[in-house]
Amino acid sequence: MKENETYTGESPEPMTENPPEPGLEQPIRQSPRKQKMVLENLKSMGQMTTATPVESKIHTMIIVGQVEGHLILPPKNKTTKYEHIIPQLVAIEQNPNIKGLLVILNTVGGDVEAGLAIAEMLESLSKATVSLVLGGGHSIGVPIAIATDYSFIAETATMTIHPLRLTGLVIGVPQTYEYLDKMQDRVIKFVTSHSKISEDKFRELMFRTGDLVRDIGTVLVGKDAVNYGLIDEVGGISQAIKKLNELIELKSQPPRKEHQQ
Amino acid sequence: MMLYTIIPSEAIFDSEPETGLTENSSEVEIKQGSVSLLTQALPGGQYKINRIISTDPQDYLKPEWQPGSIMNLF
Repeated sequence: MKENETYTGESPEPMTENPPEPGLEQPIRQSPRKQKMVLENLKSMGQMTTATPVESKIHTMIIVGQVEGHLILPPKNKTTKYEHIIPQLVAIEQNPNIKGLLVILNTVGGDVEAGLAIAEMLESLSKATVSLVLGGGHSIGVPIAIATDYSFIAETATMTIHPLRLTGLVIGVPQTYEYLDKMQDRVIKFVTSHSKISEDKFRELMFRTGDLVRDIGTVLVGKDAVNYGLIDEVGGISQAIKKLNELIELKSQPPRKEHQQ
Repeated sequence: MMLYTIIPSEAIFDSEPETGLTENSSEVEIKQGSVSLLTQALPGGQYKINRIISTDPQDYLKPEWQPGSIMNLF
């Protein structure tokens, strides 16, 4: 980031027919074309008129598309990369100014190990964490969603719970099945130990045949996920931020209480 | 490598070279402090911002980092 805090007021020379001053003030209200012009103007001046940025107390992490781990997926896949997420979590843990983290999920799943790694990182983060499932939090998105201190799901959002499948070269030996089973157990163990759902119930949802959607698994819509104990509450962004603020308050309280007693 | 996803693997790995390759071949990740900008290289040393990777929500409001805006590197 260019730390160009000095605001030099007017531009040295008028570049466009647009007066630069009002343009700098309200670029959002203008038509996209005009807005672009103002932006380009801004860049050609090399000035960023950002008032000393106040670091937000709450940071956010967006997990969208496929969770990408060991393998770079073909470019048409929208991915959230492991190597982006993990360092961010490390930075958040170390930054004393950041008090809370809001994880927003709209994922179709992805790499098992990368997903579990993100979930474990979220789980062990000392800051207050809240997740919000919007749109979809499927497959490996499930452990990520429940890894936070508190989880929300939008009323229309869905979560699909289904068995793991092998992709690519599969060698038909018992060991392959055992390996698959082990990986599946890792997911089940994590989910059941970090949410209110029981292992039996989760397995039942995973392997349920009656409710199978296109050979995929059980689809839980909004409230269903809450009823099964997977997610804590149905809600949106305002509830999520409110809860996060409550958790931040709670986490900062214990030392104060000790002093009072 | 094991994928746990609702998207069938054929849909993930069956890439269409025409649309897929052009977009990725010129994708450049630019670090701006703690923020990563995924950009598309344009002729003349310019980069078009496609995606911002940051945990600070305020970064997404910066006018100069809006997706689609062009940045110069020198």
